[in-house]
Amino acid sequence: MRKFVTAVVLAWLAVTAQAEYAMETVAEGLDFPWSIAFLPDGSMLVTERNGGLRIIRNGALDAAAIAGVPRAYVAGQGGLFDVVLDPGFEQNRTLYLSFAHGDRKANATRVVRAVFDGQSLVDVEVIFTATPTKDTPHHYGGRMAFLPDGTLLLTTGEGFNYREQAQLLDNHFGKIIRINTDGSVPEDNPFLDNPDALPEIWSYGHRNPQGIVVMPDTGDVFVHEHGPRGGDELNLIEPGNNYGWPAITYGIDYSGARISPYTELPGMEQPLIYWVPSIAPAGMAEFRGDLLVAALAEKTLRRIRIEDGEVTGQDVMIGDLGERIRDVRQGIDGSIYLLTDSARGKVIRVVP
Amino acid sequence: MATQSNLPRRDWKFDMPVPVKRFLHYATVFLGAVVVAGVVASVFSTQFVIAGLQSIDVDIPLATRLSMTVDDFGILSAMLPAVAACFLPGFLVAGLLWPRAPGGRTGWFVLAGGVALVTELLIMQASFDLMPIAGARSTSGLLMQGVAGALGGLVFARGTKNA
Repeated sequence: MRKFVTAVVLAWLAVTAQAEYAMETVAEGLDFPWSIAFLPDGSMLVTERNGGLRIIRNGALDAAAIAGVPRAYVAGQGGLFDVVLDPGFEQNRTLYLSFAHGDRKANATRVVRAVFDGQSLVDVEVIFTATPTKDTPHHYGGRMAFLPDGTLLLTTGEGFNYREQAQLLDNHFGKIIRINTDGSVPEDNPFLDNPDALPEIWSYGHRNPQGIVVMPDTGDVFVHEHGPRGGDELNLIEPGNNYGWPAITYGIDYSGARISPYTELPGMEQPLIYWVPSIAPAGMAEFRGDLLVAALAEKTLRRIRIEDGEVTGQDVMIGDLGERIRDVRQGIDGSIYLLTDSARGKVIRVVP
Repeated sequence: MATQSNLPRRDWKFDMPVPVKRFLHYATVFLGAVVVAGVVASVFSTQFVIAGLQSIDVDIPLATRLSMTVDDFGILSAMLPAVAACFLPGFLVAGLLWPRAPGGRTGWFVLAGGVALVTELLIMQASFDLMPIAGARSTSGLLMQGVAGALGGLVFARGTKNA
């Protein structure tokens, strides 16, 4: 409890002193860019929420989108989400895409794997589709990351209208999913012995998690999720744990009504940080042992100081961009890359 | 020594024109109907949200239920204008229809209040692709919002019966 209080106090006392960083626009004119992946040859793949997968080669954005990308359901917050390279990409040229699949009445978060031949995606194979489907175009989650053992984590949202489902294990709403790269279920997933639980579930009680980082040195898994009005959270994820939504939350509904009378209950994990008011964290990267968090509403890049798996402080690293920031990644050149969230979105390179 | 005037005693009471009096009466009753509907809708919404929490095994003692219900009255600042916005056309239509249609006057305003609130929520849901009132996400929750609207219609019908 004491550590938690310390973390919260540090969060509230966020230092806003900003250092100077050189920033350059790498590409612009992207339609709501959502995620970026860095290929070994220095090119970059960028997803656009409208369904396009674009490539930046030699510093220039190819005019044509990459062919072979499955059609995404583009509505509300739905569309094409994350792109993640297979750990063995240099050998197998395999990548993974997450996106909203379906239509207005029945849609869900889906993951495919495919081979990128340099021009288009081939051998596209569906490896996961969240179940059941929903009839809202909101709260898909959609971020992915690899664990050190080669299994794939995927975040899923609770579909907005289905928030209570995040507490139930018979569905994929508001969960972190762990699967093998062929879509099969790892033999050590935490709920395999529970006949009422879906076997892919790794953790539950999430709202709309849109940032996930596996720390390279420790394997710690950090996930942030959007709260409603207030109550955005950063959590350290342990398999099998319940992160509380909507039974406990530091946020209130958009209408101003309470979502729950509780901020803590037995058996439910407390966040490392919560943000009130919301910053709308939308993407996260590891950077020199710390976490970088891209914020849509706050239009900032925050640096979360991490020591031994605990938050020791946070500060606004970039606060003068004036644009909603959808994602942050560290490139293979060591620079930080930001994606701005607009119909004329940019890829911005930040040199620390 | 004071002398009694033969002039008629002047009555200084300000007599408002009848149309203004009627307007103010209707406006007052309308506001009352909006408040009743908004408060009842808020109470219903809270109970459905609590039922949702109980469905996932969250224990809500009576005192907590009551305090959350009261806390949720905070949404009235946003909700009352929304209720007023849907009641206005709804009651206008009911006022035009009831003399020409079968059924009693009260029934038409009750129906108008219920239909207006449900329709507004459905329009908002279609516009935003989400239900803005959490307690109205289920069909039964939405119907209870309609009941709140109907109560508002009842207040308006009764309050303007002899106006």
